[in-house]
Amino acid sequence: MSMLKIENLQAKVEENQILKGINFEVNPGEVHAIMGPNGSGKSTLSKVIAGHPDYEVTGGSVQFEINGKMTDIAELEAYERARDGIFLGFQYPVEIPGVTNIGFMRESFNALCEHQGAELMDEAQFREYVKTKLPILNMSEDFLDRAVNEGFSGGEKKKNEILQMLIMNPRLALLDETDSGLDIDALKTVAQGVNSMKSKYNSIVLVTHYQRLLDYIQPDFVHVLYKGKIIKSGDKSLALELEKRGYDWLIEGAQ
Amino acid sequence: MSILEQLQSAKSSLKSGFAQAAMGRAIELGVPNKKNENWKYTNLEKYMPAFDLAEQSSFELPQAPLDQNFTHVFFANGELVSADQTLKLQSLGQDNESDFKNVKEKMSSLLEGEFAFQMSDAQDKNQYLLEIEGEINKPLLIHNVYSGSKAKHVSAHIHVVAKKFSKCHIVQTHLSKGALENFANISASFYVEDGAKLAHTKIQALNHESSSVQNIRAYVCRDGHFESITVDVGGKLARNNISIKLDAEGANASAHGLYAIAGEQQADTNSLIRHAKGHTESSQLYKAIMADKAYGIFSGLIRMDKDAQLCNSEQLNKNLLLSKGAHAQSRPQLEIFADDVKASHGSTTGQLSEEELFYFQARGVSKDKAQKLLAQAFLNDVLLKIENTHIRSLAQRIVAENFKALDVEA
Repeated sequence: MSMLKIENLQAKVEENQILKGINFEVNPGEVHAIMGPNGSGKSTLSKVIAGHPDYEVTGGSVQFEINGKMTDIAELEAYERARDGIFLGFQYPVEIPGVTNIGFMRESFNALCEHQGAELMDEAQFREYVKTKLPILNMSEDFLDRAVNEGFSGGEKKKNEILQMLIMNPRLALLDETDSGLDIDALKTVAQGVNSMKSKYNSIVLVTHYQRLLDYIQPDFVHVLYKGKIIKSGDKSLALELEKRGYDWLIEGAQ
Repeated sequence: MSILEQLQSAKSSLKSGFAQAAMGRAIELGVPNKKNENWKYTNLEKYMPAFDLAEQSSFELPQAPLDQNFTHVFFANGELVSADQTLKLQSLGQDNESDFKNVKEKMSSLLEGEFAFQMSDAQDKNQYLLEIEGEINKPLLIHNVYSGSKAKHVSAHIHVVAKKFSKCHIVQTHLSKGALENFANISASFYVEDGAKLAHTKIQALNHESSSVQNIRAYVCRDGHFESITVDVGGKLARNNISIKLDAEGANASAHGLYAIAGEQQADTNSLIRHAKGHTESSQLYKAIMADKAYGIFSGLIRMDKDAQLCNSEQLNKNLLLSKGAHAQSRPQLEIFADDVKASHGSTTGQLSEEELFYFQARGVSKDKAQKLLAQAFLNDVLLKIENTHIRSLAQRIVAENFKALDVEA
């Protein structure tokens, strides 16, 4: 059974139709990369799957495997999708003054535990658990006691997203431009974090503008999005070709 | 009979000349209305019952053992009923004030034009003096309890003199016993001598039939530190009149506060921090959450006199509206007559950020829970300014118990 099945998905924000009929399918264990020029709808696609309230689905469907059944998730709130195993790594992680990073992550982790009927963790237990994940991302413990993303550098924010992902251990991770704004060292660290989660049970969808990230996280499939549609799919060699030739040759063919 | 006529007739039965003078001044000032700049948004008369001073109620000390982290004092309807024996707390008559006269005179200009403040002095009783000497590490908890059989006025004035190099944390709670209406008009005056450090936290959680006015005055001497934090979660009306004078180099004051109000509650703070001398510092953070049709008002003036060079001041007011019917007024103001000072001020009013709410939701936290957590975080900014952890937990508990708009299912 597949993990995620998207059929003829159309979505708009305010009055702008952004997605105009997207089809693709993700199986457990697969890594997909969604590439495309600016404004093609890449970020929108990940936000629609995660359930961002600003985006309205105007046609088609998103189905996600929940408890062994492919389920249409259109009616599920964002938090319900998250509890069922969908994680969105933000392109621009939000700063939340007054809430500590560890407090934020514990709320999230316990919300998932409660949903799954697992036991909740108290502060001390949770801190020990989080500490086991910090070395993977070269993060120090003092990140946990700072306010969520407040005063973090661009790279620190992205690492913090991946840390949250490792803690929530989602079945489907949608990483929206996780590589943007990263220097090469931070990029490697972030990739190391993502790779550490890869298993035959989890799937990853990388939304990226550059091929560079794909040197460190090997995709099984690459899709090119343009004007709200997938105009080409292929394996990782497609990404290399895009790097060499740009998008124009595909765009001309699509028009 | 109008309220002023009621006061006029009460004046003739006052014994102390001091109380008569205060009553005379109050009558002259009249009940403030919207023509008064400091009362632009609140019609006090609407919240005042007919003038009838409450008698001391039969008050029994709580049965449960008192929290040993505090030294306790109890006032019932403004009258002292019990105090820890270690405290230098006395009832002020006319005669035993010779030493204290000097202090009173220095403070006389603070809030002198404020009707409610004059009213708190316009009676023969309920005037107290507390003297703080040395470092007192256990915080002092002053319980103010209000009760009665019909709508009454309760007035009291406590003067606190923090002697040279003393240190003390004082917390005053204002709570109703029962659901009856009271009008509590309480003044607290602080004279902070050289090098002394005094922190005052007010926590007001009266029932929603009652209203309160808290007058806070502070006069800070050389290298003295004064900190005021007002926490208002109760009452139909909660009004704070704050006036602080930094009158010697090195004097430092902060006046922070929060409201967490709902229903038709109104909270209104009017504050003046006056830098009268150079090298003085002040800071002010007022944060308010309004739900339903609640109305929050903040009006704060920082004044720096001509000779007050090299002063530092920061002021910020932030309002969070949880519903469409809630509203806020914010007037941060600066008056600077010196030419070499640092002063910043600002104000924001808004709703919870949609982006922050979505971030929580994308991490599996429901929208209701996210709202609650963000609102708590908003208030925590102020609560964390309460340095003493016992006082801070007390304030956190009373806010959580009284502000039900935050009370959502986990």
